[in-house]
Amino acid sequence: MNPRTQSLREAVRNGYYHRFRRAISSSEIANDLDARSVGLSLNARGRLVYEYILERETPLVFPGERIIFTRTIEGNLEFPMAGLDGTRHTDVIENLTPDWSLLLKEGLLGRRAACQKALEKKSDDPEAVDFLTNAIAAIDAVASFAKRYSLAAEEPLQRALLEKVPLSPAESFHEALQSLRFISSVIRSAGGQHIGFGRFDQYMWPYLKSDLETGVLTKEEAFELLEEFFISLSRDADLYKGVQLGDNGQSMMLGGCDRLGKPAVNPLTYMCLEASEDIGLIDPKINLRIDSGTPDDLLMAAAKLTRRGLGFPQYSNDEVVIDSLVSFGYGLEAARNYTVAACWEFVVEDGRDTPNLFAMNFPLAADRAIRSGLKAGDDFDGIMKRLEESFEEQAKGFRRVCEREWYFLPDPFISLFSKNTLAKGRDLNNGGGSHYHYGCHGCGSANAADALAAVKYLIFEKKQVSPARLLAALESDYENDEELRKMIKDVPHKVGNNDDYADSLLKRLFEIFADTLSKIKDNGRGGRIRPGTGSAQHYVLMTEKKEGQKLKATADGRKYGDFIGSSLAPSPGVKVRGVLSELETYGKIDYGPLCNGGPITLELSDAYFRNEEALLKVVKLIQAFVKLGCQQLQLNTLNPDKLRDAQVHPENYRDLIVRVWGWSGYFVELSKPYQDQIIGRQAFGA
Amino acid sequence: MQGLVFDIAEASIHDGPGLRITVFLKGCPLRCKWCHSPEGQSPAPELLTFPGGQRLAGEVWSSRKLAEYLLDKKELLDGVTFSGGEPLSQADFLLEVLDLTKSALPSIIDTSCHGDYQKLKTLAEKAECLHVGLKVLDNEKARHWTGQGSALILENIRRLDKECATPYCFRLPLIPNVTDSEENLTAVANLAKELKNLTSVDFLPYNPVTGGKYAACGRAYEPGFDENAPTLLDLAAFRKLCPVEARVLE
Repeated sequence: MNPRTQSLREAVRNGYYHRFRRAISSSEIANDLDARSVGLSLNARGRLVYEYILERETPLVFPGERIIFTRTIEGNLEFPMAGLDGTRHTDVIENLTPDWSLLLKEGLLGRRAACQKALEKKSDDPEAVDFLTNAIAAIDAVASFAKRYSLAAEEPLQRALLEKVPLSPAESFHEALQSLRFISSVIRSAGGQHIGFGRFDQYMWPYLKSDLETGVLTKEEAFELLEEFFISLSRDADLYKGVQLGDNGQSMMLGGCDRLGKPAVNPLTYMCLEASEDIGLIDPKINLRIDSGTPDDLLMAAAKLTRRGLGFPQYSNDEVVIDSLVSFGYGLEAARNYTVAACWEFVVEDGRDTPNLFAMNFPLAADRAIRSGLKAGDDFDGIMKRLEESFEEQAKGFRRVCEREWYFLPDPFISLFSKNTLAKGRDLNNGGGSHYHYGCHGCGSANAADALAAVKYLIFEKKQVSPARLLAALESDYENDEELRKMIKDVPHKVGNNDDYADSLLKRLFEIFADTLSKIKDNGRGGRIRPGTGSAQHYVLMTEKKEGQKLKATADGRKYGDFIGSSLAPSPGVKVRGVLSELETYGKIDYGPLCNGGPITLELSDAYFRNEEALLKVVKLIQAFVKLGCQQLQLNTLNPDKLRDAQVHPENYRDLIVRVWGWSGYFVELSKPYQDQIIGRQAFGA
Repeated sequence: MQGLVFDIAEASIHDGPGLRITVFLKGCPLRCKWCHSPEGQSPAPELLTFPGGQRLAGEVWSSRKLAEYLLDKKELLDGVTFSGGEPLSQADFLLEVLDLTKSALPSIIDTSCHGDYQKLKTLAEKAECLHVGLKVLDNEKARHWTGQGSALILENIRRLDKECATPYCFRLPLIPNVTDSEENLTAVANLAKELKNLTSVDFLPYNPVTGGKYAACGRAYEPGFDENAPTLLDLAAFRKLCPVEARVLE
């Protein structure tokens, strides 16, 4: 950073921009919108949200700033609006990556012209006319807001910039960054959640390349602009909705291949890694697509970013991901252009998938099979058979959701940034997309497999424990049988040790999971369900002691209330042989059907980051992950002693960052259960 | 045959280049007062008792099983390091493991060279290189600080240098006023001048012992030197005396 970017960084960390905000209460918004939406079509209501909120926003342009936009309306805005039949629409578009290249190449005016053109062709389709008319009205609302912004700019360069973008196509790197900042913020102002930046280095590189070639920018100037853009993403981030602060979906995908499968890494890929390392903020959250041909120096740059302790980059193995997307049914070229949603869910262009809708509770499925099987006198095969039923039992709940009538509020503005919506004359939420799949997390897989391994080993093979004894222990939360809990802990077969005994159960669990979901042929929106290996916030939600908590003590020795692992990780408390064995375990899973994503979550001690030689080992670990055919990887640095101290003295650790699940946050801003889950992870190389 | 392993580190950090696994063999004839792995000293399994629970140090592995475990990862690894304890104290076991793995996985053996010369030579011939953990060269001082005199070690090093072509480096822990004294370092540099297969002298900074391993073994940590004293090493001065590269490993 130079002194200028340093002071910009300070300003966002100090919350300098918060003083310009004013609050509007949710009920005021709801009442206003209800009143103004009487008699309007759904498309018109979607457009109204933009008009309403942008009318209330105050343009703010600070002296000397080059990436411009600051929110002035406070609060997590939701827009509950009475629907046509009186039902309230609270489902908004989220976990979606707009096609930003459409914005940059055409500008809002270009998209407006495209709407006009589509309107002429679709004049006999009332729904299309309604959608396109409202899309145009939404553009006009944003355009007049952009006009107000340009008038608020006093410096000629700022004014010229704002007069040009986002209305017109971007013609320079600076204009492209500004257009992206402005429009992504507008979408978030209007309630859009977890809207990602997608393949930033791909759609931005042509602008930067041209600027560098023609001498419009030096590399240093470009780097400063990039840093300013990155820093701007933290300005309003506290207003973005999420489970915890930091869970805001400002994700970015770098690297990978192009639509023809050729390597697409470019100089901007490296610059993004360097800028992120340099500014050291939790946004944007960096993802990196890699394969066996990824250059070592790119992995070294990535390892250095990991060393910065931000909890990213997160790695996706193209060799596995693209195949699994294709085998699910996406087109090959589209699959090659995949990115991630907010956390890790792989998303494909031009769709409206909802990748984080469901969560399968693996430990609960295993526990039901174990308890009912043991009570019925089953052998181990019988328990495995019951497992299929208990997965199906949870899937019934998913089916009910799929059969339910959904009310999605259209978003004619977001829908502009998708390739097929205009030609189809349909909003993304109303058939304008090319796919409508749901995603389902697969949570706590290691705990489930360890529980099955313990039952198989102690009860059926060694015959050291009677079914009645285990059942009694589970009922009493091991209160009266600590000895059994110890025997279970000593069972030599645990997930994460490259132990075929436990790993084959893990593999089987994912097979049953995928089979179960594949039986849901229609999710009610013309899509299917994509199984994944992630856990998201469920490692807390599925385990915390609360009224109605279904998951109690489990046969892996886990007591009621104890955590399960984050995404793919050994059961908490299990010390595995090492990082290679763990990667080998996860290389055994058949990721073919598991296209929703979910990372192996590895914590490395800071010893790996002390010098270049050790960093080279991190690079080789990442390469081992690819070689072993694993799908996705989160490498984090973890120092549990420091985290414990931060719980006691939060005031000393304001800037301490951790990876929570698919995102990074400031440790002291997390609630305690999330802090505790992280502290409990195994750190390798300590 | 069977051997006793007290730890395995995958992707180990300090034991050689690239991605490697370090196997820690249990049992050591030395009793260095600064030893960071007291659980590696006794040749028998030991139950370590930590405040949070117990753990057995000393897992029995057959040479075949250990070789299988390592070979299984050969596509991922640049090599394997055998450390300890003192690998020489389980030379026959290690020899079997090396015979099974050496064609696929180059090995580093981390040894003090205290042990039977013929076994040391046989092992060294099968290794890619050795890390020779040199400490105190003066025989009597060595006896005080490491529990054994240095005569056998120095004899073995000199002989090995003549009879075996395997390269090796010295790894010398910087124990304040003990190993880093001018007298000891001069002796190291002089020794280095005699040797033809020595590649470098690597100094390992001393870190105060933490983590309660001594307590877990039921012992007290009594280093007998000032743990927090700065090292006396003057690297530039040492380099002038030393015929091979000298560096401090971080």
